[in-house]
Amino acid sequence: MNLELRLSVEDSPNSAGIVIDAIRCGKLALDRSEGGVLNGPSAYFMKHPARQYTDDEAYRMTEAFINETWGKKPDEMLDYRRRQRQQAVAEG
Amino acid sequence: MHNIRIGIIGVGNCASSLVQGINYYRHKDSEDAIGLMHWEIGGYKPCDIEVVSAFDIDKRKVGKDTAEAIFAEPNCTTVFYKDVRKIGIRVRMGKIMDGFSEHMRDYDDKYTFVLADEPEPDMGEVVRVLKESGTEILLNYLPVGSEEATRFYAECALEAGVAFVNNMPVFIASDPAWAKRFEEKNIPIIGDDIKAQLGATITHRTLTDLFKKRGVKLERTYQLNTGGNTDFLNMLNRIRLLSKKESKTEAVQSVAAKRLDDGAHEPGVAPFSGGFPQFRRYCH
Repeated sequence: MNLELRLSVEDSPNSAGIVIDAIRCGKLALDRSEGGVLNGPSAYFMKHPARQYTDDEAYRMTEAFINETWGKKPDEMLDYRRRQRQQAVAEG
Repeated sequence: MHNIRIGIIGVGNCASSLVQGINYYRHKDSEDAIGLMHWEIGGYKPCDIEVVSAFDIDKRKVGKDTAEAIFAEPNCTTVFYKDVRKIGIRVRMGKIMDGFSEHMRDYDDKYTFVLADEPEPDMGEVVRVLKESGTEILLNYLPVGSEEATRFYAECALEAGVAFVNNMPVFIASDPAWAKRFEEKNIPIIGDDIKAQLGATITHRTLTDLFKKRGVKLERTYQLNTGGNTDFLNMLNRIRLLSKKESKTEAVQSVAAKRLDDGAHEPGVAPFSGGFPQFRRYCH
């Protein structure tokens, strides 16, 4: 098997949306008083994070970071989602 | 909830696209959230980001409003949103250090950096600006190979207590010693080396991962990048490429079923050519 791929891209606009997401994750960490390397967002947004994950894993970690479910046990996540639904209902 | 206040180190093409993007999204809604993971993250929309400080070393940018400086040469990226509103934030003179490679003096001003004559700030001055401007997150967009200058600004971020997003391949977040310092000060850091929405690295990683999942044995792979902008001109100095090469190599090696032998994976940068469209990168 021999695969040749040619990709023509413009780097700058191609990175802008990613940086906008990274900035917002950074702000979430500030709001939550979380410091140090943000492993999920670093693995998802960056080529050379402290620790590499597959892009699927990195995506899930970043989603969990955003939703504050990273590191939570399944029953805690169920509880978290239940509270989210209740809050959404309360807010109409 | 106030805006997210950012500082920019290096008002080049990537910073230009970022600032244009922030303004572009002001007139859009969630249906137009192209290029983003989510329209809203933690209650923050893309347009809730505000530039409050900026540093550069080029005389065509220093002293100008950031909204003007993003369109100044040698920037050449596509202008997809030209009506960027002036924000009253002037670009300040930055620290040069190794952010400028001597070989770049030999090229046309259209492509290269033209150094400003302004006095360079020391760390105390940068920290003062970051604090007084209310900068919360500092973005590093220095040219590839700016090892010393990146460490200078990372130190400034630590000193000023602002978060750091390291978009280029000098290893700060992935260096355990630096990571520990950010952790000890409880300052967030995201890095290193931005991965584009859909560029050569993510495509290369995805194909490598696919090969692993489908049981295809990957024997050799390469990536050749060519282009004609200031980034590629800067990378003519091959010494500046060392960390870039490591970053790209590890991004692919880390998702391979088995690490490839040295030389079996080769990321490369072909010589800068003014003949290429300035803003476009071709990857093979």
